[in-house]
Parts: sequence; C-alpha cells; structure tokens
Amino acid sequence: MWQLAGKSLNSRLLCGTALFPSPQIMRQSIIASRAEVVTVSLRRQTPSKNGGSSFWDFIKSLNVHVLPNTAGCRTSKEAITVAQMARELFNTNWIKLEVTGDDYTLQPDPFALVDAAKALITDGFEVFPYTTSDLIVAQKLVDVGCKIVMPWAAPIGSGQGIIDPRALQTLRTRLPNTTLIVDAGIGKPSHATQVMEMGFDAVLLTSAIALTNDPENMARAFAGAIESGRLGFESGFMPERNMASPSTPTIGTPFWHKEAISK
Amino acid sequence: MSYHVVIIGAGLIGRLLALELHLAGASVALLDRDSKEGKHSCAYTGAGMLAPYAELEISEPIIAALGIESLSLWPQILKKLPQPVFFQEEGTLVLAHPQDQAELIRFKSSVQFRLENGGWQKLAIARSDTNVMFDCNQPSIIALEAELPRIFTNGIYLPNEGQIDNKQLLEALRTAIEQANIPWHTDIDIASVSNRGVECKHLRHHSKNVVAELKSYDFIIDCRGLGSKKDIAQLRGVRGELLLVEAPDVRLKRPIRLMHPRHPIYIVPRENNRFIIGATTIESEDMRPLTVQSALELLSAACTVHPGFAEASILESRVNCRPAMPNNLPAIILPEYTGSPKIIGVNGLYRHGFLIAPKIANLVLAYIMNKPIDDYAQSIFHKGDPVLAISH
Ligand SMILES: Cc1cc2nc3c(=O)[nH]c(=O)nc-3n(C[C@H](O)[C@H](O)[C@H](O)COP(=O)(O)OP(=O)(O)OC[C@H]3O[C@@H](n4cnc5c(N)ncnc54)[C@H](O)[C@@H]3O)c2cc1C
Repeated sequence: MWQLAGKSLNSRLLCGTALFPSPQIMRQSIIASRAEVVTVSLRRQTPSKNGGSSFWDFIKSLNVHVLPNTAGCRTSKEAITVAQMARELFNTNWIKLEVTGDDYTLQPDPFALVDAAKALITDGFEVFPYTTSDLIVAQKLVDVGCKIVMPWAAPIGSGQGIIDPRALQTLRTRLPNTTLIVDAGIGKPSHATQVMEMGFDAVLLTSAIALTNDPENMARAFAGAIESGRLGFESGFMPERNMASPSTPTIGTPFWHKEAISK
Repeated sequence: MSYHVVIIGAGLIGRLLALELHLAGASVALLDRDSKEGKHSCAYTGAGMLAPYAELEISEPIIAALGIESLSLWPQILKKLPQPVFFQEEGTLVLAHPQDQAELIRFKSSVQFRLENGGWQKLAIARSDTNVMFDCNQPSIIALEAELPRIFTNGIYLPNEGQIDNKQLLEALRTAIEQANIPWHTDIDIASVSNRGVECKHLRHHSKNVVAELKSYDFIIDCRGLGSKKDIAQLRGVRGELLLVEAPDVRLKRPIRLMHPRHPIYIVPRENNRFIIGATTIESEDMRPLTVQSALELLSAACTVHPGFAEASILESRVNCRPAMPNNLPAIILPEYTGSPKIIGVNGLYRHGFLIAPKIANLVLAYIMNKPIDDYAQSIFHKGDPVLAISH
C-alpha cells in the first residue's frame, strides 16, 4: 500500500486510456496491468458534453480512479480552463497538468506549467504536473505547492527509456518528500524497473502498452517490472564490489589456489 | 426463399442486404428515417477504402479475412448494379516523414504480427500466393506515384488492396432497389426494435403500408448503425471527419496513408481530380461539423504529401460517428440475443463497412437460409456473448 494524493493504492502503475486498438482491449489491458489510476483526455474524450459518453461509461466500468489531463493545451490559461471543466465533468479535483511547448515533441513549456500549477493549487486542485527532468523546474513546481511531480524519462511516446539517468537520480535525491512519478518515454518493462529501482514512486504509461502487438500481455509485463523495481528499491541493494583489486589479503588463500594463479 | 424481411436502416449494409435478399427470392421492404440520398448515413461519409492488410495495423485478423473475401465479392455485386461505380484495386502506399520512421516500423511489425498469428492464412494465400507487403525505397515509391516529393525515402506497398466510391455505390444500390420494386419507406423514424416490438415515432403520419409491413414479417433486420444505440447498449460512436477536395495539380493513383505519431491521415483519390482527405478518430459521439483543429491537422499533413493540395478547392467536409462495439468488430446479433425470435441486428461495422459489407451480407443470408457458416466467422454471431456485457 502507498498513498497517492490521499488515496491508498496497491499498484504503482498509472495507465493511459488512449491509443488502444479497441475499448475492449483497453479494458483487458488495464485489468492485466492492475492499475488503479487511469488518465483520460478531456479534449477528445469528453463525457456528457458533446456526447462522448459511451467511452466514458466504459472507463467508469473499470472502477478505477480517473486522472483527467489537459493534453493539447498550449497556454496556462487554456490549461486552467480545461482543468476546471474536467473537475466538473469527472467530479474530481485531480488534474494531470500538461502545457505543450513544442507541437512535435510535445515537450512541456515549463514557464506556463509553473504558472498554471500555481493558479490551480490556489483553486483547490491536486496537480500532477508533467515536466522534463530539470531539477529547477521541479523545485519551482514544489515551491508553488505541488506535492506530486511527473518528470519524463524521455519525450512522450518516444519509448527511448531514460535518456538522462543522472538528472532523474538528482530529482529523486533532492526532492525526497515529493511524490515523483515517471511519465513518458518508457518503452520497455526494464526501463520501468530501472526508474523504480532509483526510488521513483510510480510510473505512468500509455504507448508502451497500447501500441504493442499484444497490449494485454505487455500490461502484465509492466506490472511485474514495476513491482520488481520497487521491491528491489525497498530491500536496499547490495553495494557494488570492485573485483579488479582484491580488498582482502591473500594470506589465507589455500596454497593450491596460489599454485593455480602462478601457473 | 419465401420469407418476408423488413430491413430497418437503408445505409450501407441495409441497402446491400435488401438487394441480396431480393435476388435470393425473399420479399423485402426497407424503412429509413432519412431520404434515399442517405446523407445522414455513415456510408455517405465513408472514404471507401478496401484495405484488409493495412487495417491490420489496428484491427484483428478476422477483419482482414472478411475483407479479403469481400474484395473478391465486390466486382460480382457491382455487375448487378444498373449504374457504374468507381472501383479499383491498385493497392495502398504507406509513407512516413523521415522523423517518423518509427511509425513505419511499428506499422509493419503490427501487420506482420497479425498476418502470422491470425490463423486464417489459408484465406490470404488462396487469394494471392505472392507477397502482400513490400518495402519501398525512393525509386520504387516514385515508380508507383511519380509526383511524390523526394523526402519520402521509405515506404510500404500493399498491392492487394482497393477502393470504392461510396456515394456512387449508395446511388447505384438505390437505383437497383427501385428497379427491383422493393418498397422503400423514407422518413420513418424507428425509435426501438426489441422484444417489445417495433416502436415508431409519429406513425400516424405514415401510410398504412408501413403499418402493414410491421404487422407481418418473418424477419426484421436492424441495420440502423448508431441509430440502434437505444437497443444495443454496448454500441458507441467514434467520430470521424474528412474533407473532399478538388486538386487539379495532383495526380495520385491509389490511396496513400501517412503515418504520424498523433495525426495519421489518408488521401484517397476519386475520379476527376477529387480526393478524400481523412480521417480523424475521436472517442466521442459529437456530431457537430468539422473542427478547425481537425481541418488543420488533415490539410497540413496532406500538403506535406503533395504540395499541389495547397491550391485545391475544398468541396465538402463530412462528419459522422462510426458505429462500434467494444471490441471494434462487426456483430451479427441473433434472435437469441435480441430477445425476439424474428429480430436480427447487423451492426458494429465501425471503420470497416465498405471493406467487409459483402461478406457480412453473405453471412446474414446464410444464417437466414440455414446454410453453413465459415468457421472463422462464427465469433461475430452473437447469441449473448458475456464478453460484450458491460455494466452500465
Ligand atoms: C469518416 C469516416 C470514414 C470512413 N472510411 C471508411 C473506409 O475508408 N472504408 C470502410 O470500409 N469504411 C469506412 N467507414 C465506415 C463505414 O462508413 C461504416 O462502417 C458503414 O457506413 C456502416 O454501415 P451501416 O449500414 O451499419 O450504417 P450507416 O451507413 O450509418 O446506415 C445506417 C442507416 O440507418 C438509418 N437509421 C438510423 N437510425 C434510424 C432510425 N431511428 N430509424 C430509421 N432509420 C434509421 C440511417 O438513416 C442510415 O441510413 C468510414 C466512416 C467514417 C465516419
């Protein structure tokens, strides 16, 4: 069990709902992933308004916590408006805050992000900001009141894995009391294990599951990988040994070994 | 066949079934809330691509199997129609910009995976023992489509695919149905078709014929597409938007699919320098006209495929919601499931209506006439499949 914004959860995998071949495969994959939080894009999967209700009913039938996002917003003003709509429509104060700075890479605009986060926190939202692995941006987000920060491992949808492990490690070390969820860039289960071993609190995935040949099994693979990484982190790793120069004196070494070496 | 069959919904599958049942000897009647032009049907919007292999990128192998059979059925159907319908089998070309090469790799790997794991290979091989998917380098891309810009250095060619002009097809089916003297009642809004019977809005305004039609029948086939939502709870709409343009400077012979991580598009040539540029896929039942965002995505992508589109005129924008089941597969819903011994539902054609309609129509006829059903197609017959049962 761990706590995410006041909710007790078992799973440390958060799953997106877009890009799956069909709602049925999405449902089976989310069940296989054991995720208890799913993200939903407000812009394009709007419930009640504009009649997106069938897909929304489908998500509701999964009985999971919904984390609406502001995907597609390019300014803080736009993101704030979408967040407010999401609060009404999905009946939650959770918001995954995305403010796009570059249309092709979908790299977040850190300045607009911090502005929007500040306004939304004042307005009572639980903000999950999607950001790069830059320490200062993360620090500013914490300064304006974010309890959760979601750095990327690599650009969204790229599947490149951890492009800057040192930056991620720095974030973890310098923000020990912030919930850090790696969002975007993960391609393989081993990438997820790696970030969990670094001590990140959770991982958010979409493409790495949805865009594969067998999403349901990939979801299962990620569930295992994330659990392994976390268990490893909690158990404390054995220190790495430098085997090149023996640290123990050779006095106690049996003579037949010595012979073997001298041969 | 001496049955009297009432078909509700004269869109794509409704029209096709009416004609095929009539030719099989049944007495048929058609009802639709729309006029015979069918402007509100999804079929009026559709791009008419017949792409059994390319669709494997996101669809299950059964779609390809139904599509491959249907591709060989279309020419026979078109021969029965009194008007010409533009139909060709020039294959599909799949492209991606240099920075999006990963999308091409993913496309190929998905298609390959489903080709190899589909368990229906025999069918594919029966149609053509040659390869169904080729890698293209720049010279082979230019050999296929001479006007494409040189930025496209890699592509995938799927030779065994085709396309059909949706509007010409709807018109030709209409004429065939009229010439066969099949009664076709327009402006009849059927609110519900269920074990409680057929609920018709404002029936008193309509002729006695309709009332008579609905009093005695052997089968009702519900083909209302998304209009059946009230009766088929699992049905949902998936919004799609596309544009029809006239581009005198563009000569492309075959459908082109441009892969992109977020905004994949296709360009489908029609006769007389006209092209369909489509289509968005949005999980929403919103029927409002084309949005600016979608228009920008579709048109800017099209201009990168051929700069000649910049000078094209936009003739039409079309929007509709594709009727889909949760598994995005077609469903022939049997009386055991509809709750009435006489009602059959044919729905969930999603983005594959043109691709699979001929085979779907054959399967419905086979069911009614108690003929054997192909093993691979059994799974689309629903008698009450618990997989589809979602709590609402
Ligand atoms: C943008 C777009 C692009 C597409 N491109 C392709 C493509 O390239 N290739 C392909 O194979 N497929 C394509 N499709 C999908 C294809 O158009 C559909 O699968 C197909 O039209 C579905 O056929 P249908 O007969 O089930 O429904 P429809 O064609 O929608 O017909 C339903 C009929 O029922 C009638 N009806 C509805 N409600 C009632 C009521 N209450 N009372 C009486 N009548 C009613 C309607 O008026 C209509 O005539 C596309 C769809 C869209 C939206």
